[in-house]
Amino acid sequence: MKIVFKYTKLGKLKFISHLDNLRVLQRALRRTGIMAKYSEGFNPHPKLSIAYPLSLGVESIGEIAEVEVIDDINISEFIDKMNKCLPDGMAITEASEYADNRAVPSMVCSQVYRFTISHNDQDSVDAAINSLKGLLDNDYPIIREKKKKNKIVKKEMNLTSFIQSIDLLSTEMLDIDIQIVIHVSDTGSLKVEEVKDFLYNSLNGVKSIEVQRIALNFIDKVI
Amino acid sequence: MNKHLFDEILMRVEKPARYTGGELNSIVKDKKDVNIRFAFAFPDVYEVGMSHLGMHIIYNLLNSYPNIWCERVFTPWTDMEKELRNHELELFSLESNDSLKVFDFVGFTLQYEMSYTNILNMMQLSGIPLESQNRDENYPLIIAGGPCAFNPEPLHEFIDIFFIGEGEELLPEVMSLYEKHKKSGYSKQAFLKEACQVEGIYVPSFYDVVYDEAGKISKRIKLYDQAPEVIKKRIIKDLNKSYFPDKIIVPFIETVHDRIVLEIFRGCTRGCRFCQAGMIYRPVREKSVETLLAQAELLLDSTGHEEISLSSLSTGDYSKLIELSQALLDKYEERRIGLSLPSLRLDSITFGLIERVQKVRKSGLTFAPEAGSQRMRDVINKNITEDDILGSVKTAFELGWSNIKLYFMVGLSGETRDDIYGIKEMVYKIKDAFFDRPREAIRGNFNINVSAACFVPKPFTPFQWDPQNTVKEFQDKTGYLKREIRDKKISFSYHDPKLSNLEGVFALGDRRVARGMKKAFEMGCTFDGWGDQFDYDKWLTAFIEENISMDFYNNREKGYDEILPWDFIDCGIRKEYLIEEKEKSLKGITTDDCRVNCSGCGVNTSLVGGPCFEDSL
Repeated sequence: MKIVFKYTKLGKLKFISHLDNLRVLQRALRRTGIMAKYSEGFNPHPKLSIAYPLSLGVESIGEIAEVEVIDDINISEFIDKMNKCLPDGMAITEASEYADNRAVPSMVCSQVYRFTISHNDQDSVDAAINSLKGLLDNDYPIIREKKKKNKIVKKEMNLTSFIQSIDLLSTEMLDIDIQIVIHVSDTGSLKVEEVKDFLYNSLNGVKSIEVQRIALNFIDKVI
Repeated sequence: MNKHLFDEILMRVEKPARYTGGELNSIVKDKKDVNIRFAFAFPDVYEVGMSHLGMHIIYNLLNSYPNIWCERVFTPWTDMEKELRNHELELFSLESNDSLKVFDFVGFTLQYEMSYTNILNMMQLSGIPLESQNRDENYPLIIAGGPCAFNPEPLHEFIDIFFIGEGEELLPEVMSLYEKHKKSGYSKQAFLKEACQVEGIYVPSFYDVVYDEAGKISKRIKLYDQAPEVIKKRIIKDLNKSYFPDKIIVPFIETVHDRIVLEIFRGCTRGCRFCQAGMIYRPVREKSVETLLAQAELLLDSTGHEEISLSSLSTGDYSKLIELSQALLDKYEERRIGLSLPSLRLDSITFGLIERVQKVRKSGLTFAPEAGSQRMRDVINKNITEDDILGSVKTAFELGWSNIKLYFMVGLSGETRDDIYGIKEMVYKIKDAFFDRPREAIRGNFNINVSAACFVPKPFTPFQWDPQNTVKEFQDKTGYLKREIRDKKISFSYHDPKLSNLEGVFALGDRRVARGMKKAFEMGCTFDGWGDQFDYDKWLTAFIEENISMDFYNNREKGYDEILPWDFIDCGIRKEYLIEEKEKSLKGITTDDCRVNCSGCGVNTSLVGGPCFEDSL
């Protein structure tokens, strides 16, 4: 039986890398006593995968993972047992049985983030709100460096072509909350740090930016 | 600490989860509810410290008392250290994030000599004066224990109290004494005076040492007349009844050993003459199969680990090894929980077991012949023959292994070129054993990893009087082996002779080397056990500036009548026994395993008060 579940990664857990996150989930599953299916091969590992990696240092309320278990289990029982075994900051908020043959990670099409931008003064807040709509009008080239056989290969990309939308969610004092949807494709996606730099460079009077991943979108319903 | 700044710093350092705490089974108490705050300090990085079973035992033991809160602190890696210093932040514990300065106790574990400068660094980063005499009642008591505490003198200036031997009973005794003092107006001196009366406790500031013209110790003087003459090590008599945690912290990040460690016994009966652990952890004490199965169950349920490791000084010697391993496999095979059996002596029975173990999780095979020639193995009393080793590897090859690791030592007492050459010969014989089989039987990508350690004579071993090889001698020997072992299928590596040399200085040093240590630390030496951080030239300069000769400590032969810096500690073994063993080694005479024949080390009369184990003589 395959189960897809949505979970949070909050507080100190934001400093845990993708691989370590995977191990946290595997261990929690072991503690529940629910047996996962294992892969074949020289070094078998439990069939548990996280839909899309989250950058180190970013919190999330919408992580998605899939697991294959040996015995059928009631979904609410699965959630209860897992939540008793997960560390503080990580909790399953939703889960469902998954019957599709396609692997969940291959179906991610976009990631949704909330950026909380703190400004130095009210003028900057007003200017930011006004300029939000036009942010995607122009190209914004970014350069990525990759190591290939001891050579550094530089690749230029247009950041704005990866951003599907930018929307204002709310304002409070000198903070504004915006939602940004970032496209995920075969050619990749954007890093949170790149988007942060883009916002720092495009807006004036920004004091600090906090980021949280809200959700992942899929080409079909997974949960 | 300012959360914004802390987050910013964590984003800049490598592996930030080293510093966040909050792991499963970590313990957070309310400061208002406790009388004693204890920081368990491991003088190395998080991943190393968290792999240490002793830390988990002490942490949970102390936290089992409602009036004590024990927290953890590790050495920040150099990137984090820079951030702390740049922002003028003090080193903090993982649970409360408080500076070490506010604790009642900071307890360092002394696992290896090359971590000593990290101890100084952790104190300095916390704003705690390094020298005991500069710390009044406003600072925590700095305490230390662990195997290196058997020669505490190189750290005597910095540590207030040393704990000699096993801590499971001793530590709570001292804690309750402290609580009594704290309730009635704490004075450091008054507390130390009472604490030093507890068996196993050493307060170095109550003693002074006098040296003769040659620089040797002429006598020890008591500065407090009630302080004990001799410090006797503490042991736990029955491991089945001693404290053991039912849950241990599960790190978020990968550590050196990500598994449950079941300590199946303490002590060792082999009597290898180079091995300090084999001497200072006597007598041998086994845990029962029932105890171990119960402990394994609790730990597996509370951690979710997928591997159990059986740990001891010589796991193959556990009298119920087969029974225990089979019971563990029967119970956990289905749950895909692996079993790892380090340091096994291989025979037909254990091979059957290993085959079964391999079904759950594959692992390599490791052998430790320690020396290359039979003569040298007899000298060090490593009672294993070439036939034993070749027989074992042949069986292993037949069972499908093609990768093995071999551990040797160079620089053993009385070593000749032939003994060194013996290492090469043995390795090549093992290689021949692999290929000298029918072609269809040869499978896998054959590879031998040979590792040579540079021998460091240790206190409380029969070699404690011996001079260590010089750096040059070590380099000659390792260089010779590197030239001789030239084979694509064999990789040879060796320990840094300079590092081993310095280890010898601190293993065998007296009070005077403390100055050299402090100087080297002030010159920037930390993380000396890490090859990329170790700066031998700085150490040489520091010792020259302090006018201390390193050679005096580790490259000089000492007489049986010389007062050794650690002679005031009674580890249960008679000095005469060590002398007998040393004399036998010179003649190449071996000593039986204690289980076969009691060798009369003295531990049965001094500590056990009877035979060491059932069926013993």
